[in-house]
Amino acid sequence: MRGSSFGYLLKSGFKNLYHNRLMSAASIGVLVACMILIGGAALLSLNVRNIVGVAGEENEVVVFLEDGLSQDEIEQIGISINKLGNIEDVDYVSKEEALKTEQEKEKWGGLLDGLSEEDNPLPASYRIHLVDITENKLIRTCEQLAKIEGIEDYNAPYKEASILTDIQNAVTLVGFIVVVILIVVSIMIIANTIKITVFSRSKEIYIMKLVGATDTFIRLPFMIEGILIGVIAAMLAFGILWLGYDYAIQAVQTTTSSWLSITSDSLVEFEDIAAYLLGFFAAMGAGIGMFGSVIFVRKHLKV
Amino acid sequence: MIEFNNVTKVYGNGTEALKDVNLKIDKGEFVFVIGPSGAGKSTFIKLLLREETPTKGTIEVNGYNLNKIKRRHIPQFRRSLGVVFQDFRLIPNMTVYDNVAFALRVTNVANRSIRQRVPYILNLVGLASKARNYPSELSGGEQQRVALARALVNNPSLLIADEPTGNIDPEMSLEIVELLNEINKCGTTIVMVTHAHNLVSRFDRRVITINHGNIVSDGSEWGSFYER
Repeated sequence: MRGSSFGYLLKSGFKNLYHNRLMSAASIGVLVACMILIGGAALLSLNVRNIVGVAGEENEVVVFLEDGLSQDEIEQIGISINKLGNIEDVDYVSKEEALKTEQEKEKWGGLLDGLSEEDNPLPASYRIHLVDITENKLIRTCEQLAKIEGIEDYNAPYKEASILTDIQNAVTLVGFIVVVILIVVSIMIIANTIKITVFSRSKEIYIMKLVGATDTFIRLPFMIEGILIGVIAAMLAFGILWLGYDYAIQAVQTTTSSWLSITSDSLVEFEDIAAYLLGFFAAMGAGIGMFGSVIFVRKHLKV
Repeated sequence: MIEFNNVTKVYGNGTEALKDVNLKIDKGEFVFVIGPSGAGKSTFIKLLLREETPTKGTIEVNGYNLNKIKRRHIPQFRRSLGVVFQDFRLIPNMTVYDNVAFALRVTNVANRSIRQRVPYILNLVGLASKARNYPSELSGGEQQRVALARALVNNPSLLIADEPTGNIDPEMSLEIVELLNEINKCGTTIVMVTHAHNLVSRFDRRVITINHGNIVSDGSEWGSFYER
């Protein structure tokens, strides 16, 4: 094929988009609607997952230190813990502080009254907040903690972690299923739209065949048109979703409802996933546009 | 140029459109094909264009054996002939110029020659001033002349016209056939299927009459079912 032919076919793809603007608008509209639904469902499940994670951050791992360590050794342990990764913050609680805290407790505090600092039975400890306390991460961090010299024992919220992990897994699974269903439904709707679009131009295809156009020559403008429709729809859906999402976040952050405002710190920033979303939309739009037109034009090429 | 040997065409629903037809049209001839509705004229055209294949028998057009031609060679075959239809079959969202140029573009002709050839042909059919118009802005006669320009722009050796005057008023019809006559004088073979026997009688040409799927007469004399 000549270069000038290719240029011509490219141009006619653009032209057709404009000439069939009613059908183009309909296809773009359907695509945009489907993409917004898919993107919205993905954002929602991502956020629910994160909010559930907030609950976990309140849980801490307590590491008890061996007695008789020097101040240097204790500090060294603190540094080792901080190096582990998955550590949000670390608080040191000395033997004295531990004793004082226990003595001040209303219920059984009196039992420890007579104890002096020399025969304090309570160990010094590090209280550690983890970044991620889902089951696997927690177990891994604890294994690493156990290897640090000078640590006698530790206390980890395994039960909470396992519940939390279950909830997060469930949310992820449900979100995934919803998105997959939406994608399947979208593809069916879009396929129908393309079918109608191509059908409305079957006469045009027929004429081209009678004049002696090869299949490629007929198909290429349709493919270009399909890709264009897909890309335009992707940009529109992306923009609308961005605006809508930012608006929704703002509404949550300024709300007076207390439980909603707690979650506001853990909401997903649109900018964080913008690139993925745009990439997915563009690939989906261009892919559907291109393959859809290839498949449905083929039927009309048998002249 | 065109050769039908014992051609029979039976459609899927059992309709026998053509029965054992033998026919030969030579290079440079001008042939009218007439017959009532349902006689098999449309099937005849469809077979000529390789839109349909015969159930029995062989067809040869422009040196292509249409029984054996490979699918990917069909476009090439179609470029070797020009076709004009009753309903013009212009592409509605292309200008007159682009409709004609399209027939050249599909054949990979360079832009430079397209720019020379299309205005020349449009001038020939008297539509140079309408180049930028869309088909819907033209009269039936004008649209048919655009279709004719498109059929001729490739310089085909064979021109097939399927009731080209069916949707045009009488004066315009005469003009179209006279145009075809001129084209024929330049050496192009012309096969024109028509209902308009007043036109046929004006030109002293070979007339093939089809009825009930058979050729009932062939020559300058008319078929028996038309009363003169």
